[in-house]
Amino acid sequence: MIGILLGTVYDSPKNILAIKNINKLKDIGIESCLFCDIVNRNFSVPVETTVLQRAQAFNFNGSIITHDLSMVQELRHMVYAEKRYLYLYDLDWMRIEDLHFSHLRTTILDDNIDLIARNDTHYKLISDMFKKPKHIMKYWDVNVLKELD
Amino acid sequence: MKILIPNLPFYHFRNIAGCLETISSKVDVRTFLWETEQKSIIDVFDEVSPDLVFLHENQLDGAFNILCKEFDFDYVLVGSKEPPDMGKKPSAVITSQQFEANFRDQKNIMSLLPAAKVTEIHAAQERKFLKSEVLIITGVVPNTEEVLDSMRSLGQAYRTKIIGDSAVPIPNYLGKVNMLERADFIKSAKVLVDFGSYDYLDAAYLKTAPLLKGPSPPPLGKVQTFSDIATLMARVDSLLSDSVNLKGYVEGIHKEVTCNHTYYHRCAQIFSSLGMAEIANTLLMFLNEELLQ
Repeated sequence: MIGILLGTVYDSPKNILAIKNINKLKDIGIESCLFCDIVNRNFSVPVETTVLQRAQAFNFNGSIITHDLSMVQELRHMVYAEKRYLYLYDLDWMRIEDLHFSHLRTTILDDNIDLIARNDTHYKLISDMFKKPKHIMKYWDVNVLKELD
Repeated sequence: MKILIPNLPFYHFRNIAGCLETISSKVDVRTFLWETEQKSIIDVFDEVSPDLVFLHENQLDGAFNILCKEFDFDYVLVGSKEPPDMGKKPSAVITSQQFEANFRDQKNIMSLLPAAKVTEIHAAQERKFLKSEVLIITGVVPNTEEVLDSMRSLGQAYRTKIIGDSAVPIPNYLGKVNMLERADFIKSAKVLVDFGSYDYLDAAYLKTAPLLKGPSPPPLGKVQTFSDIATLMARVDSLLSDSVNLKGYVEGIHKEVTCNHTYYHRCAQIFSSLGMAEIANTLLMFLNEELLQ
């Protein structure tokens, strides 16, 4: 079972891609759910999977994945989850204001979190800067999501 | 001897305090780091009654004038211009070379050259997750387009990590670091590229190959310099591709720095000029016998 961990689900390219492809998982027989605070009323993709409160993710025992760097502090404490993935869809750490290395040490570099890169270029950069990503997943590719289950 | 040092954001103060603290068990020296924001100079004098005080020129005010009359102490001044008449002249003045002429009636004027900040970096450890081929530390030198271009070129060609107080719009930038993280980053790198902040002295102490943007600042020791991106890339390539060359260079510059350019040397220079030979000798002995053995 795959869980997606997000904060507010609003219209953004990566949120749209995430939900579109999560919706496809049921077609290939993989269960999924979305843990979030709220799905914006004007979010342009219908969410066709179970939506649960974000706090419920702490009881989840499947593979959990987030593409939101701000969620990683919580992700690392989700001890029941079989696997915890951070999908570095963009080079997110570049956008952090007043970045301290200690932030990265406890998120991207956390031993209990596996990384996913979006493409080969990102894979090389992330390997050089942090650690080798476990997967390369282009635009929330459902075939890679299947492997995470 | 009680020595009072203000905890101001100057390398000199912090590193002098650090060096003195390390020899406190070997010689009669007690160092007090004074939080100037939290305690007034009169209160700290009442509590500590120091024998020697290090002061910045901005701290010479009316309160200090009163203390000069009531307490018996010597002081070392860090400044750039002739101090106002305080009824007590400094025993020594630390300044930069270009300001020496500003002190006409003063004896014991010293220009302290930059030095390896040994007490901040000596315990550095090589760590797998910090490893890099090239390390750059931002902060002191402005990030001009030329500097950013050099960083980008290094980032594309080598496993390059950038840390420091000044953020740069390059994905290799990993943020601000504390003193211990900085030391570990330097120790875990093969080459440190210095755009003029004297970080290369710390790198040399930790046996990481330094490269300095020349010609300014004037290099201390036989550090390799570069003037443009092409030379920089060629120098990095030469160091990374030839381990014998790298080792020879690193050993040579490490020796130069440990013989002449650490804060223990600078601190010994100050105490020697104050006529406190025992403290000066103990500092150098501690460096050579305890740290470098």
